[in-house]
Amino acid sequence: MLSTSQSESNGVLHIRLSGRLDSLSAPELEERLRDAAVGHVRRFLLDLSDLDYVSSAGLRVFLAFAKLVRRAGGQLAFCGLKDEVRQVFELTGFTDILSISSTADEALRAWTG
Amino acid sequence: MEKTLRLPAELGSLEPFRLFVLQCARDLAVHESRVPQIELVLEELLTNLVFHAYKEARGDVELACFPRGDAFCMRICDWSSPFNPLERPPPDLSAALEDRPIGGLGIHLVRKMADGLDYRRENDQNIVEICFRRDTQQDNRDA
Repeated sequence: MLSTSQSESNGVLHIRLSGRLDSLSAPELEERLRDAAVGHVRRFLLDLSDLDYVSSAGLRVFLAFAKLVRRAGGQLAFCGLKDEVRQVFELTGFTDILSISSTADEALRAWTG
Repeated sequence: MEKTLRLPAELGSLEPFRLFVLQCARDLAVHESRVPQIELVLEELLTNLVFHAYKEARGDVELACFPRGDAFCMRICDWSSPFNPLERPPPDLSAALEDRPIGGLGIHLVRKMADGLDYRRENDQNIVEICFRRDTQQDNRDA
C-alpha cells in the first residue's frame, strides 16, 4: 500500500510518499507524477521520510519522472530516505544521478539560498 | 522444514507470496534487518517471471522456503519456456540521467542482495534458488 499527499508553497510541489512503492503501487504513482509534471510548478520535492520499501518498479517511476522534469527545465530533489530505501538507491547508482538531501529543509535551502 | 506455496504467475499473487515469505522468515529466525532484502529479491524475480518469462502465457509459480546451514533460502519454480533471469546483462550504472534506460535494475538488485544465486533447468521447469545469510537474533547477541 502506498499513499501520497502533496502541498505547494513558494513554487515547490512537496510530494510525500508513505508505505510501499512496489510493482502494485508504482503505476498509480507514475500517473500522479505525470500529472504533476504538466502543471505550472517547476520544482519538485519527493519526500520519502515515510516510504518503507522501494523495488525496481518504483525506481523506474522515479527515473522517468526525473527525466521528464529535466527535459522540461525543472528541478527535482529527494529527501528523507530510510536506510532500506537508501541502500536500493546506492546499489543502483541513483545516488549519483539524483539530487538527494537528508531533510526537506535542506533541499529547500539549496533552492532558495 | 520446507514450506511451499503455488499460485498463478500474475501480479495479484505478489502479496500472498510476500506474506508467505515473511512468515517463513520469522519461523526460521531470520534477522529483521535482512527481511527487506528478501522481500525485494522475491518481488524482482516474480515480476520478472510475470513480465518476461510467461509474458502472455498463463501458468503457475511455486515458491519454497527452507533453511540450508546458516542460510535462509527460497526456490522459485515455473513451467514457462527456458528462461534464465540471471543472464540479463548488467545495467550501465555510470550513464548520466538522460542516458539511463528505464528498467533492467531488478535483476541487478537481486545479484547485489542475495548471498547465493543459482539457476537450473530441470524437468521442464526453470528453477532459481536464492540464499541469504540469516544473521539470526542469536548471532547478533553473540556479536
